[in-house]
Amino acid sequence: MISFAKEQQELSLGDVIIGGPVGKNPTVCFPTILFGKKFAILNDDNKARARELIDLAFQLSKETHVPFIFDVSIKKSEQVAERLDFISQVLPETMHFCVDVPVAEVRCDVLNYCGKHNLLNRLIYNSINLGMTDSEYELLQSNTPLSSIVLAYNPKDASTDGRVDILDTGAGYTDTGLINMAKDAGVKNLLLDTGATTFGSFAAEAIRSIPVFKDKWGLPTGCAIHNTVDAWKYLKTYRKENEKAYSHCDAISDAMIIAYGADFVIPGKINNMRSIFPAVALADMFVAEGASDYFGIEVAEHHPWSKLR
Amino acid sequence: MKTTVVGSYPSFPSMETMMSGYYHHIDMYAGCLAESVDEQVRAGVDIITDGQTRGDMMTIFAQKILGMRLKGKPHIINELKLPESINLADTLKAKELAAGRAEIKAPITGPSTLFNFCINQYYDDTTEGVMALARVLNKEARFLDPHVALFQFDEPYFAVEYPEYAEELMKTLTAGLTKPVALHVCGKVHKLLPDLINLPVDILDHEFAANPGLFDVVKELDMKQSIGLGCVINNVDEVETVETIANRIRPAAEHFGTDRLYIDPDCGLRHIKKESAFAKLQNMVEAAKQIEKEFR
Repeated sequence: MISFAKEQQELSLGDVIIGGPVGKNPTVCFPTILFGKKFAILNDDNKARARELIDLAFQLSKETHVPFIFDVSIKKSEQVAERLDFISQVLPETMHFCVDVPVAEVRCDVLNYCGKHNLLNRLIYNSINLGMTDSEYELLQSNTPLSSIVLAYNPKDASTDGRVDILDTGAGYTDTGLINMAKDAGVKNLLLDTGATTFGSFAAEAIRSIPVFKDKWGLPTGCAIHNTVDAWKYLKTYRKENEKAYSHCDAISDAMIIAYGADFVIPGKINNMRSIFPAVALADMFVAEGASDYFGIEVAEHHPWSKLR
Repeated sequence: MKTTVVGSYPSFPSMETMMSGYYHHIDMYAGCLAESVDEQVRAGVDIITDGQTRGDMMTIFAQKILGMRLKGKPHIINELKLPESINLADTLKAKELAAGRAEIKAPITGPSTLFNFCINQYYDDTTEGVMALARVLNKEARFLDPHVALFQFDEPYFAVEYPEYAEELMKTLTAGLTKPVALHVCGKVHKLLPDLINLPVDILDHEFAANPGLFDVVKELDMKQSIGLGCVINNVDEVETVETIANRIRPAAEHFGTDRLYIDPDCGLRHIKKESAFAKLQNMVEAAKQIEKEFR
């Protein structure tokens, strides 16, 4: 459906391949685990529930051929050790994981922990962004994750140009762009997050930015468009009596960004995976078939299109 | 004699607030609006604005006008329309926060200034585009009319190039408005003033502090309008004393009488420190009170 003159990089994140020409490799899903009040403090019960959901993700991935990487929610410093301990125990040793950490100080704790426990080569840091502190950046240079998401959030200018600017030049906030900062810190694998914003704040630019970023940098690109759906005021009310509608809307939003060339989706809580995985597979089917028919792209053997036609 | 401001107040969200805006979908400017209103009120200003904290005088409007695409600079890519108000929500919030302690002014960037800032990819010529934008901004003003005490259209571009159709432009811009209208033109307007006094506006607002000789021009004119007397330098942090400001106001009060004066800073305060902005406003209010007392 879309093709780029710019060479599209393929990255290996453990056993998962991400990026490459649009339609060649399946879109990678990053479902969030250990998120929400029920997982605020880990105990035997909710760990058991988490294991069930993790098993479900593996099962759905096997059925739909949608590859995935877990995005581990960590909100506070005291959660770091326990959650990363849990994850490194339940996941296969070669499987990479992502961490969803909004607070800079907690991200530092994650880097320290992963550095100490030899997990930096499996860590996908989420994310290098404008809110990165000086001490965080310093730590990033000594405890460098193999992979990182770089977030294109520009508070001054939410247009696609503004999002490009924050990655490219720093948009006046930093001396150089966030991509250069990530590379200078030694991060090898970069994934670009176009930065989902709410309706009324240039929400569509998060989607439109995807092909723009891929054309400019050739790096695997996606976003957590689920956040726009989650913040949609109408749906917050409607879902109280129509929870399924929320799952459908969530799934649709992921399909939309895949149609624009996204290499990965960050679809929110793992609980919605029964809707998300087939939806991602469906969108991937269209994209792969279009890539094969129109651009002559050889679709990967492990792609949903190759397996489920 | 009333005190007012031109528009912007230097309140900006912290990095933490900006990131919260992303992660938690909060309005990162809500605190800035509240702070701007609070400080203008505490300084004693009679007619305040919402602080124009959401961006500069171009972006605030460009990002909400249909037909303008933000791509670095705003690009005009289609017929300009305004489906809903740009600033009604913030104006109402400012009014609520002021709680009767101050009146509200609506600063609106003028069509000539805004159009000439944009990259025009739609209209055949400047006149057509500026007049289209005038209709759009008039619509915005009519959204706000029930809720404000005063309008101010900002046209610094008039000092660069004064349009021959300026009178028609201002008539279009102010059509249907029930509240007084000020026209703010910053910069050196000495030669422009004889034209400006013919415009259908109630107040002419200029930078008298940065242009001390301007008053000599004004006092020779037969002007019907009230004067927006910029009497505080807006782009340096050094805070003028009450006496310095009073000395700037006094000649105007002597010539026009205090009833025809609106006392304000030369221009928006966005580019100086918050502490300086507050202190300047405080001293300005104090100076105005002093002059009012002298001329009672």
